[in-house]
Amino acid sequence: MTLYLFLFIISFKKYLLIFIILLSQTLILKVPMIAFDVFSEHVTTNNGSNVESIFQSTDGILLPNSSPNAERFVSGLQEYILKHGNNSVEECTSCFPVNRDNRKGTGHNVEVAIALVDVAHSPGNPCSWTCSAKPEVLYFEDFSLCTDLHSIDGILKSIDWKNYGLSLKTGLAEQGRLHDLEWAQKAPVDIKLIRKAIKLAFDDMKSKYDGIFMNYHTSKVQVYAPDLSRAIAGLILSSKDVEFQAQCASLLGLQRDDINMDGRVESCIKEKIIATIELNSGKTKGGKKVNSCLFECEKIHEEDCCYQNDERRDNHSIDDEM
Amino acid sequence: METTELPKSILFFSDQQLCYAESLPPSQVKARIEIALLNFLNCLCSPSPAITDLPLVNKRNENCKFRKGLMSDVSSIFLSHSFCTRSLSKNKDVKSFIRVWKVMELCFQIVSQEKLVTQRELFYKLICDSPDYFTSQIQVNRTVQDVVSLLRCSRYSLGIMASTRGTIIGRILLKIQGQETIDCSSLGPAGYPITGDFGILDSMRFDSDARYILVVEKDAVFQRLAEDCIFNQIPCILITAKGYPDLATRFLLHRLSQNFPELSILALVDWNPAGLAILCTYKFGSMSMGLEAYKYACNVKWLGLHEHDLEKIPPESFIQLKPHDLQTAKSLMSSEMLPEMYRKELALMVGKGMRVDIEALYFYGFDFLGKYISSKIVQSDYM
Repeated sequence: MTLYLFLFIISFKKYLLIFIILLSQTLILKVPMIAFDVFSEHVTTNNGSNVESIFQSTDGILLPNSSPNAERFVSGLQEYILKHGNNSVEECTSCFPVNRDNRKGTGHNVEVAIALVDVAHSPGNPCSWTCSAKPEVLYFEDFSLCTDLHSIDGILKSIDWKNYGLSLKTGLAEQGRLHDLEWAQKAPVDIKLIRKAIKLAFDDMKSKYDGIFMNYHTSKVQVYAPDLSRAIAGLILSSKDVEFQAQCASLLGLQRDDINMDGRVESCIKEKIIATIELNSGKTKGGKKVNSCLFECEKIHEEDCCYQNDERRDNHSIDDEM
Repeated sequence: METTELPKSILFFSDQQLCYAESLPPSQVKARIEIALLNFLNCLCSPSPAITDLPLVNKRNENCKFRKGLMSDVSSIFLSHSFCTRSLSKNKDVKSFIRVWKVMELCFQIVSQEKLVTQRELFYKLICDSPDYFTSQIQVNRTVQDVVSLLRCSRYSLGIMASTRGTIIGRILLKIQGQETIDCSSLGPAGYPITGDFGILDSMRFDSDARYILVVEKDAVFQRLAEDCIFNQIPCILITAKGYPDLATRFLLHRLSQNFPELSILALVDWNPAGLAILCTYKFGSMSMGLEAYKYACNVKWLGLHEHDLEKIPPESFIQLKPHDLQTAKSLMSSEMLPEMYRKELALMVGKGMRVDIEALYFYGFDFLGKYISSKIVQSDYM
């Protein structure tokens, strides 16, 4: 299944909205023609008459008007990017029949949209993707592809992409193809805000889509899940205590009889361990904290140590331990 | 078992602080492993699932304490109640975390079958079963200590025997249930090998007319003294662990000291930092044994070599201290357990930058060693 990931950074005056959308191809096919213009998003201005929601829908697919503005906005952007991909088209009248100047007149510009797209296949839309097999970072300004990356290069580099299992290809700025967009003339970008927004957006996505945004450590740890589950299952199965086994089965949500099914306990534990690792990915360092010993919870004493361990003796511990 | 009892001397001063491993019957060990497992599953299957960290007793310096016995001359080092964790979520801990569960799984089987295995056997089993996790004996040994620390039961309770190199000879009869009594005075110079089975050591009964126990650092020296039948000249029992003492040798020595409290325990070690460190392991215990470190500490006295013995040594026998000798010396110096007189000797070693092996006394002939020991004992020249 091809997954599309979109990260939008949208600036409205002093507000910054970040959206990340992850779509499977299946989902995209279900809503091929929905196109919401950015203007549908903004409905609460003082002179509301300037604002027009333009819905273009086909096949009777229409988001209800009760949809939150943000949702409509995202849908529109999402649809646009899916259709236009990274082609730097000037205009697409099928998607945006309204006059571009009118849109500008509302004062609600899309400053930038960043789309991270991993596309194995081109969606085949009119404005199709010209993409590589590798994930790309694309920038859109005012619905146009922007490859003058110098101004945002520093921000992108400051994002902890690795925490989301991504890596940023260096030298992006040098690959720029369009030079007519003038970031430098615009208001300075609030680096902290964008960084925070991207982090929050990714964290949100991470919590919604298990396994997609695992950080490197989590992916690494998951490799050990089968061995850990084998050891745990081995312990359960080697016990002759039926009550203990029943307790384990109950905790695992298994039937007593499942214990004797070949590989059932191990696979159940493995699933749970993997799910738990994913769930806790990047949350906090360390697992479930235990403050004291399992078998004696005595007060921890904090007296000064009199005996300073010597490494030499430790190095020779093999003798002692054999 | 005697091992379940805390030495009286320790109970008096540090029962509040001491964190120790109990000797438990197999049923209780299994129960503890099951509790650890249920605890793990409980967390894993809870509404907010997590992989439980494994709480282990901290073996760092700050949790290592030393106290002098008030009711006896026995002092020891021990671990107190500060904990650290093995966590699956810590990069450096991932493999150690899994090793603990793997060793626990194996111990569960061993205990269930009421078998005893050596750590070496455990190592071979683990490298066959889990070569990705176990590549060295040290890893196995450390993991066993982690399990000891987690379950708070002794290594022997886990069905693991000490792999011992210890031997004993001299004026003592060893009475082992179901076996013939061993007269250690009629053995060859290799002596009687000390078993790693703590059960046997614990139930062993003794009979002796010795007045001293000589703890010898080196096997070669032990064999020299055994061949000379020094125990016929000096009423003594000879013990060696061939270097740093293993737990079984220390356990036997401790049992002898408990059975024969009137016997002086005298140590013959090289005049170098390692020799002193070996002596200190017999005397105070070793942190490498973690929660069992405090056990088996004995009031061992330093018979030699001492600095004032060096006048007998020809200059050719002095060897320059190596960097690791100096490192050992530094570690010992920083330890408050080191008695002042030992500290002075150590300072002299470092000051001279030289070491002397016991064998240097052979300059006066192979039989000189016995005379040297006799002379030292007669003059009460030990500390």
